[in-house]
Amino acid sequence: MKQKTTIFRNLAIAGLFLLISAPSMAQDRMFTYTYQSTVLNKGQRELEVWNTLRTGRQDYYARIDHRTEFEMGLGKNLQTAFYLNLTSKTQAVELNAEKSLETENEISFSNEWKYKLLDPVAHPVGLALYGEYGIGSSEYELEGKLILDKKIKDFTLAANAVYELELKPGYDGSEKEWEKETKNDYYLALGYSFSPKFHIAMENAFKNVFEDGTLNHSALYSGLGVACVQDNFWINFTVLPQVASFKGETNSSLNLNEFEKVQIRLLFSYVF
Amino acid sequence: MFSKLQITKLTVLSIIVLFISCAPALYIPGKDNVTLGSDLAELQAGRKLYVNKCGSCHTLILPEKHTAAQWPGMVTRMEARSKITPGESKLILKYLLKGKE
Ligand code: HEC
Repeated sequence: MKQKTTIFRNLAIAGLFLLISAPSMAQDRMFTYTYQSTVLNKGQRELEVWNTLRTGRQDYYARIDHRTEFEMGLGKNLQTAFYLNLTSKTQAVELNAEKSLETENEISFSNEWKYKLLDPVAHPVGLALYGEYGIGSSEYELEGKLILDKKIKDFTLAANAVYELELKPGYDGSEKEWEKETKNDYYLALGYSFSPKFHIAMENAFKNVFEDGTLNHSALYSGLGVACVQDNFWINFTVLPQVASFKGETNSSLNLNEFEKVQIRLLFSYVF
Repeated sequence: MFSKLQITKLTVLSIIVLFISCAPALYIPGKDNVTLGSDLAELQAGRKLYVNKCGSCHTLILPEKHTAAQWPGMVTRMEARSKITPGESKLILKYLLKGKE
């Protein structure tokens, strides 16, 4: 526990330091989970480092996702990105009424395409389409997103509808089969810019997981985040706790079997 | 009665409708903006370039936010970052200056 407090304190100090020392602005990214419609210009490149910690289930559970992303603008409002994803997950498993911990690690590759159709300032609403595929050794993924955003004075509003298809190979006896899971998530975020270099944001993620076409579990996460910018470099940090579940509640009103109590994400980006 | 799920969906939908309903704030050049220094085609090209090249790092800044004395220096400062040519940046500046006198 004490160690956790120290980590949080150090993060807070680092955040404060950034706030004070950041000399300038740029705000591409207000949110940590919710996407905005912006795309890079032709010739612009960006490196992003994502770290997400997810923890707090009924039994012990901790998962860290790390993504290193290289984005580039292709011109004509189109951009592409390549990701290297590393995941490490430790959870309690039960075998013959005995519990133990099991760790799984995974490496995967993904490629995203994003196309901007409308701008959030020049048009009534910003609109972009997003597609991504992911290839791992034990999981294949296909994802599509509809991105809407809007800027009104110092407020930025963004909404995403996400559809994801996951295929996992497995065995039923000696028969090989593909397990199919679909996800339908909605994100809604509201950001406020205190200054061009400092923004706060409220983010909501409404997650729905379907197995063989029926809703299996569903939960709502709502949390707060900050974004700090310095020249071409920025940091986003968001803490997203689960606030309600709609399917698969465990004790209290949360679902702590399939979802975790809290997700924390830290993102660094650099445009060059 | 509505379920928790329906209420959540309704809230999301109404917020989306709310923000689509607001009008855009970035002016579209018309005859009134034409001066000796820039014709309508240039202003329209400038707007198009501004929208396509200046919104990748920050959302677009309204022309009214800065004065005619401030804009030239700002556009020059952003030129290399946006990977645009001096010719393109000239058109963008023309568009931005039409927002005021
Ligand atoms: C590579 C990212 C990037 C691109 C592309 C970009 N900007 Fe910027 N812009 C920044 C950054 C970073 C700042 C804040 C630091 C500074 O002022 O130098 C900024 C600040 C500004 C400001 C001053 C702050 C304010 O709120 O008024 C203006 C005006 C501006 N940019 C206009 C433009 C214009 C016009 C273009 C297109 C020609 C453009 N920017 C393209 C990154 C970018």
